[in-house]
Amino acid sequence: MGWSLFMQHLVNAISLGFVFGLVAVGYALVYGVVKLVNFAHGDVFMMAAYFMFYASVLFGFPWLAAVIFGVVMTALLGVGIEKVAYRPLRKYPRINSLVSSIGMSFLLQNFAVVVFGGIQRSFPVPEMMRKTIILGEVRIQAVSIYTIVFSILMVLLLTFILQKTKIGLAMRILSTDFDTARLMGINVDNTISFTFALGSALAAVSAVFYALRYPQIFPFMGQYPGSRAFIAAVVGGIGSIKGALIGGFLLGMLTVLLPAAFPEYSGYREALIFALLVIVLVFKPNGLFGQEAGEKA
Amino acid sequence: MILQAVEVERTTEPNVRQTVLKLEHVTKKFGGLVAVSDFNVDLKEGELLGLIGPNGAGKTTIFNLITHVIPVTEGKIEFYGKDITKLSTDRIIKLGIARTFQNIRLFSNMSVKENIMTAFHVHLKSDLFTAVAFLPKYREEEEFIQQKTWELMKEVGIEHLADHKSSSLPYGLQRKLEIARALATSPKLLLLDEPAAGMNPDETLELNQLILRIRERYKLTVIVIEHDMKVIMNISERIIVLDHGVTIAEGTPSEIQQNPLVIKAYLGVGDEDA
Repeated sequence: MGWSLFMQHLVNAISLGFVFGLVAVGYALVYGVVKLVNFAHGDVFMMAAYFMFYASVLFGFPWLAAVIFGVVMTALLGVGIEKVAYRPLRKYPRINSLVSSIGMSFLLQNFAVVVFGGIQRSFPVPEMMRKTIILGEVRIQAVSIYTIVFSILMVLLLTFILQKTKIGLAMRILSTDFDTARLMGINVDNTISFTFALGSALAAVSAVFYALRYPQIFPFMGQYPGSRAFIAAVVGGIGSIKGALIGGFLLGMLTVLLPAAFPEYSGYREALIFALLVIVLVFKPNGLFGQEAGEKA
Repeated sequence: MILQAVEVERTTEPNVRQTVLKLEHVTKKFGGLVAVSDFNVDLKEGELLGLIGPNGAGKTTIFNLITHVIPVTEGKIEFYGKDITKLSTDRIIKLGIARTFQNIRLFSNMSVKENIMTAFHVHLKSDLFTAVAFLPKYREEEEFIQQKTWELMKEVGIEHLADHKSSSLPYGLQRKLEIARALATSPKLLLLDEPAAGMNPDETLELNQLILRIRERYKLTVIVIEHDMKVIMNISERIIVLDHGVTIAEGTPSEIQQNPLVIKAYLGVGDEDA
């Protein structure tokens, strides 16, 4: 593989890494605060793509407005799911919420099949995202650059919210102890709602870039990135924001670079990736940043 | 901004003391078990009430009811004349009630300083957007918090441990840190749950002075649950004795010490300490 080809693959890998990373952060945020693996997260991601699709194609929103509309709607959907499916179960054993989240996942998928239809739809890709940037011999998709830039902005924004704002502090406190948090005057319900809004909004942003990359959207499109991101969050150390991001990054890199490096084995891509991840977990059973699970970020 | 809130409502004449906390016929049942039965108290501003009784008498339950960690079964709780029986815990805390725990509950992975700052931050006015814009108000509040956190650490005597992990502190100091953290929420009413537990006699003596000092300085009304009679008898103005959820006696420390019911139920024979 030549240098220019390598650079192309690298940029591609980094951008996919960020997409998985942002979805994984959604898992980590929710897990960190409420200790729940939200299996519906991948389907929230899928819903985000449909919100944007309909805003753009059906209602004729300009592309950027459709994206913003999609992010807001997805955040609201996340808040709604928590209210309906998890909050009533909060005082019961955690396994109940887990099962509820699996149910919510099926519900969203089947809702999408019935209401949006099972056929694939073309996600609108604006002209500026279709461009290819040529630097000497290196050809880079514009969408990859946008993905990387916006993902970095999202990570910075998230870090700022967690570290510098009142609601971020409330989230960090909640991740250690609900009862004491209440006695510090924290509104637990509102903070959890915000956590779901934030996690879902991140899923929506990554859904935009995922759909720009693979512009066919369908009701089960959330499964693949959703399960990928969940694994990334576990490899990173579930509950750790940094871990989720790095886990996602690792997964995205492997997904692109392994078949690029060994094209003759590309059929074994999934097997190779998961073999590597199993090895990571054998040596670091709590994930790469698992020991920080309580601290997050 | 934060501690100043305490100054409000202090303008009444000292001899007409306002009622801070009023519990009327408060009852808590857990299934068939009556944890607290028909509990009544009218607590005046600045008062220091001791709550004693054998294990399982329902003392901590009363704290849990006041702060709505658990709901009351029957009865009414008023704070400065406002019915708080059904308010959520966070609202009650914001009105000005703070507590410490029998089993210390600090944020163990945070430093001493951070534990206190955390409690201040909850009252911050800054929302996401003022913080983003780095408006002067945000800066001002940050500085204010730094300064007040320092004051509180000095107040309880842990300023030299500011950057230590809270879990690395000895037991007695952890209790003091918990008191400092409770003060940071700028309470008018402070509920202390066995503050002397695990302390040696010297530390206990110091704690007595600390409680009296902070009551004066922050104009607090205080309820103390304590097993250590040296604490209760020395600092309380009034004592309520519970046994199996029932109030069996109420009075000044000397009255309580002579009450035959109390001696029978709680002090028992041979408790020369009392």
